[in-house]
Amino acid sequence: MEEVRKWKRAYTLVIIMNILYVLVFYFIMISNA
Amino acid sequence: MGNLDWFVLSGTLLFIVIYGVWKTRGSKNVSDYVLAGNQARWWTIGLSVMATQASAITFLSTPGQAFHDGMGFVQFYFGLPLAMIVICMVFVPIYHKLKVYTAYEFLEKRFDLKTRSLAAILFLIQRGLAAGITIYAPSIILSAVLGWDLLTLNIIIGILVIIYTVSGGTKAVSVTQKQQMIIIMTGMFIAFFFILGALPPELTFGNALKVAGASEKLNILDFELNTSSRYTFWSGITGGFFLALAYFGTDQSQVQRYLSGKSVRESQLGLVFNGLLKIPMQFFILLVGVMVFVFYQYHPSPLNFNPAATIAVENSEFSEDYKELEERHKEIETEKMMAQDEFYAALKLKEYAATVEAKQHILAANQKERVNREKAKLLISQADNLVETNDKDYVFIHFILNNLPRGLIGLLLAVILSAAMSSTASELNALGTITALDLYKRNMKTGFTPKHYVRVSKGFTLVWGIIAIVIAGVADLFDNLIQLVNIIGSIFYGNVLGIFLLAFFLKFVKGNAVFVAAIITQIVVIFGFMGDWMSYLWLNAFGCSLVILLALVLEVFDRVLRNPALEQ
Repeated sequence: MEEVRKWKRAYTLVIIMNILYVLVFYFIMISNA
Repeated sequence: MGNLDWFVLSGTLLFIVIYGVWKTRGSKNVSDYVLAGNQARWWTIGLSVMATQASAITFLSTPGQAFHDGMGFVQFYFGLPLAMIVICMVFVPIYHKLKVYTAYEFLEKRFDLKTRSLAAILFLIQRGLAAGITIYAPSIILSAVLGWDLLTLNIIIGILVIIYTVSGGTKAVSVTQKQQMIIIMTGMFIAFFFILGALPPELTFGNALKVAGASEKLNILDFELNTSSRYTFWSGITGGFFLALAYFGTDQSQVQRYLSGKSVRESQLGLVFNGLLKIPMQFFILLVGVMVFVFYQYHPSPLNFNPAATIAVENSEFSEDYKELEERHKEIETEKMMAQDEFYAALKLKEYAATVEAKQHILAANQKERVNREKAKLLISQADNLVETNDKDYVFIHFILNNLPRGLIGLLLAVILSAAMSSTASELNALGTITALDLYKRNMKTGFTPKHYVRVSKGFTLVWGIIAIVIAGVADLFDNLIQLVNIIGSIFYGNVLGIFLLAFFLKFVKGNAVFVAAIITQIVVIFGFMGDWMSYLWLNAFGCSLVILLALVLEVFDRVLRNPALEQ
């Protein structure tokens, strides 16, 4: 179970980081439009 | 190119080849040769996966794409992290559990031999073509700008890759890819900071972004629901997801990278690494292109970046007309520089209305420049209809050769050739493995020694290397090289991915239904591409859905025919 929890955390990190990238891109786009 | 550049370039490439051969000498069995003895750690897998995908085309074409069309191309990769998660959760554990050497071996365990062979053959067709293009793409560009002989360059790249890939197999591919990624990223970072240093002193990085934004180069995200637009947020998330799932989950050139992992955990971590870093990496490469664009707002640029195109038109009856366009180009550049100065002054004074007005002037000048460049392309194609007028792939290399100092030119050329070698190595490695294991070993009589299969794998890798060089020798330049590779992938990947999804998730569907559905789907997808039914990115989703749907219908139909009682 501990192993499954660890992986869930890793996958969540991938999703959160990539959402963050998109938000940064959005910010760069809007602030330089 | 000076002596120092030659020294850096040849020294880097020879180091990679010698290191690859020396580090991996003496593979005794298929596991050593094909799966690198299952000793790879997660960082090796992660870098290897990234190096396999990032070919020379990535480093030549992507900055040029950003230069002309802005940074929207990054959206193409938005589905990739999601695909990494699905592969980690579903594909990797099954491949490891079944201890397969190739992705298609799994299809025989799940369906039958003919489905395995069909998937393997589809892979060989598309990857064999792609391997040729991976060599050809940098060769055609480097030969055009440096005057090197195209065929010689194809042969040199091919032979360098063949030497260490044939000699050391998967391990040689992985260890060299680590070095290559270090060289590639170092070179790109140095180039990036060099461009920033070459901008006018008063222009900070933040203001350089403003300048790019004023010319609409930072329109990174497009949320329009338009299927004919090539790169939107939605096509990236959906089409990009399917393409990445197919590429990383079923393409042996990628599967072989993570099958070499020490454990399931190492393989999964390697893919997580890719899911975290791929989008920032692509963003950075596009940003380099955007900074090249900003650089040329303050420095003169050629009317067409392809020197072969300029020579062709200058030596034709249209040379006077072309000179007029060049004069016009200079006028527009002066106009643009004035508009940029006006914009920058307004920015400094924080006068919003003046900024908007200056931006309109920039956009108007950009439009004039675009029209002028199109007229130049028309003249070039009238002068010589065989020469490439689309200069996207020549922008970055033109910048490198004309603006970087001695030594750095050699390093950047080493970056491009390293990228070509890293992708080609994975491709040849996978092509050799599939031919040796999925076709030769599976269909020949058994009883050979492990050494025999290592020799056969080496032999087929060599043969595919020669085929790739031959394809590179006869290839013709397409609209945009990076798109060509993606288009070829989109035609075949959806179908193969559908077969794998059926194998993983729809247990009641059997081999015969899948085999027939896959053949019909491939024919329909090829017709769809030729008939331009949709943007090529959607062909993945289309092919994948079609093969699943057809297989389901055929399976139900087959069961009803075999057992009419089910009808009641």
